[in-house]
Amino acid sequence: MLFLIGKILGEIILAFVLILSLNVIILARTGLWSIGHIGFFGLGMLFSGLAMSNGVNPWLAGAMGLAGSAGSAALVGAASLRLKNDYFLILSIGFVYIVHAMNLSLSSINGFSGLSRPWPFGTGFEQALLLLGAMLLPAIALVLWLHFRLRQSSLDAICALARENEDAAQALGVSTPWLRWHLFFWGSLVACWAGIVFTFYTMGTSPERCSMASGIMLFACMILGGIGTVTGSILGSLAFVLVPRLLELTLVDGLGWSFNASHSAQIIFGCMLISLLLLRKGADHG
Amino acid sequence: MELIWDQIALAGAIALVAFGFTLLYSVARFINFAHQSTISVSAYACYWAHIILGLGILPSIGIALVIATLFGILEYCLVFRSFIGRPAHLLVVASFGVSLIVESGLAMIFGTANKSLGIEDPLVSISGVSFYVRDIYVWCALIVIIPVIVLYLRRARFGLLAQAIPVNIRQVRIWGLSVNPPMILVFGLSALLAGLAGIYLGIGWSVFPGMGLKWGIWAFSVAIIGGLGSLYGSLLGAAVVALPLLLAYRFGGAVMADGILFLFTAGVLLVRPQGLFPLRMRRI
Repeated sequence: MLFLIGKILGEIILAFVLILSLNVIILARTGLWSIGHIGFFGLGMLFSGLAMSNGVNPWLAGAMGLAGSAGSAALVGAASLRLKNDYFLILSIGFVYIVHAMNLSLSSINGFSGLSRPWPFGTGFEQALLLLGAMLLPAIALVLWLHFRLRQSSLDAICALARENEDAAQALGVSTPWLRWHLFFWGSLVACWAGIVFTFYTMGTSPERCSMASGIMLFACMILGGIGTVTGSILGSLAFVLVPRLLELTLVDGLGWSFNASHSAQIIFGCMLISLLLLRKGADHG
Repeated sequence: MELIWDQIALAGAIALVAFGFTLLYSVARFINFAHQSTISVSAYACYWAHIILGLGILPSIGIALVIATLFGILEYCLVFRSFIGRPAHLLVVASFGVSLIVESGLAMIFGTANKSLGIEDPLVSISGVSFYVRDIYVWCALIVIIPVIVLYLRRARFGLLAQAIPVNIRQVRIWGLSVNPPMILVFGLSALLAGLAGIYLGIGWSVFPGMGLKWGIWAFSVAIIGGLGSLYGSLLGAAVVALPLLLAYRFGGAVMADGILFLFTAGVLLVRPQGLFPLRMRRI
């Protein structure tokens, strides 16, 4: 039981890092619908897994993974300077497919396994949770600090202006592409870091984690929670992890129905996404 | 030799789906990712009619095409109709929601295992060149249906109305015309094309819930490379990009053919977002 709670807690923290960085840094401030956020998670996972499976020290592998994915984040961010709205969305979707295909072809269909954890952390499950907390809580703190600092500074108003009326912002002398690039880059880097930590946490990689379907579900949960707020991100990550779990616990184990809980969760998230997009007029501008 | 013809026909099937993507884009101005689920829907419908109900091959194909077309129309009536006039990125994300629902639904009903349509496809020989029957089917679809659709859109009054929607939807409404009938037509037609491709892919390869995603992504890349909304662009894109990659994959053992395709697509998007063979807007 304790093991199950710990596992769910770990999943929630991972989902929270992803949703929070996408929600408060990228989507709310730049207005870029970066549905490919999960791709950065996959990239961090792939690079660090690849390095470790070639015998590189885990710390060094983590650093290499971060450097590699930072380069990719910089490139995709540079693309955001040229493309906006649905064209950026298409590029972002293509990015997820590339990362997913790379994950599948560079490792096996189930990803790498049997990797090691960085030095002070051992192989037990408590150690895994400790590692997750030690590595992700600072990232969460950093994102929250950035979020609240931005909210107090005049930069936030400039972000809003750049999102609503780019010409007006540029007339004020703000380099809006540069601002957008920065926010996108740092938000994506957090997702890469989550991917690297995931590799340490599970001592392996898992290509299905960065598939388009999980990216869409993450996005649906983020919109469900609420765009641009920390509470929304918490609610979203809770829904992302708990809905499939609860379905499995109540209907499959409790009532003995025989169906696949994760598929039905996908259907629920899909319906939820469509109805939320329909109902929330405010979602138009992120 | 028949393998080369088979790869050409596969590129043709991808072109059919890509044509559906661009057809939808040329009227509704968004990329409909639920379009690729139509491939899975028609393949599973064919499987249901042929294997589970035990009908013959031709009736099963007919039923599958009808179901695919109805699926396209239903998609519009239930979901996308309410989104008309909203920003395109919302429609793209919503279409992903639809494809998530459809593919998980199929996986729940039929299971995730690979299925075979169990249709034997004999090799036929015409003056020394051997084909599979399914290849001829794709070629007929490409040569007959696409020119008819293009002619209809360019010449018929209803087709012109469909083309007027993206240019000036307000004007269309001021004229007292409903947006729905042309939209239903376009959704139905593009679903029919994806349905045709889905049956071909189901016969030649296996049927599984993710098959729409697997092949739809090729079609999506081809549509982008060819130029979104440009009707013949998707066919040219398939011939210029998908075919060489498929041949290299099949005969040269090129790994990551899809990765190369996506990178190329990303490059096209960045350098030339309107595609290689862009659409010229007509003022109506």
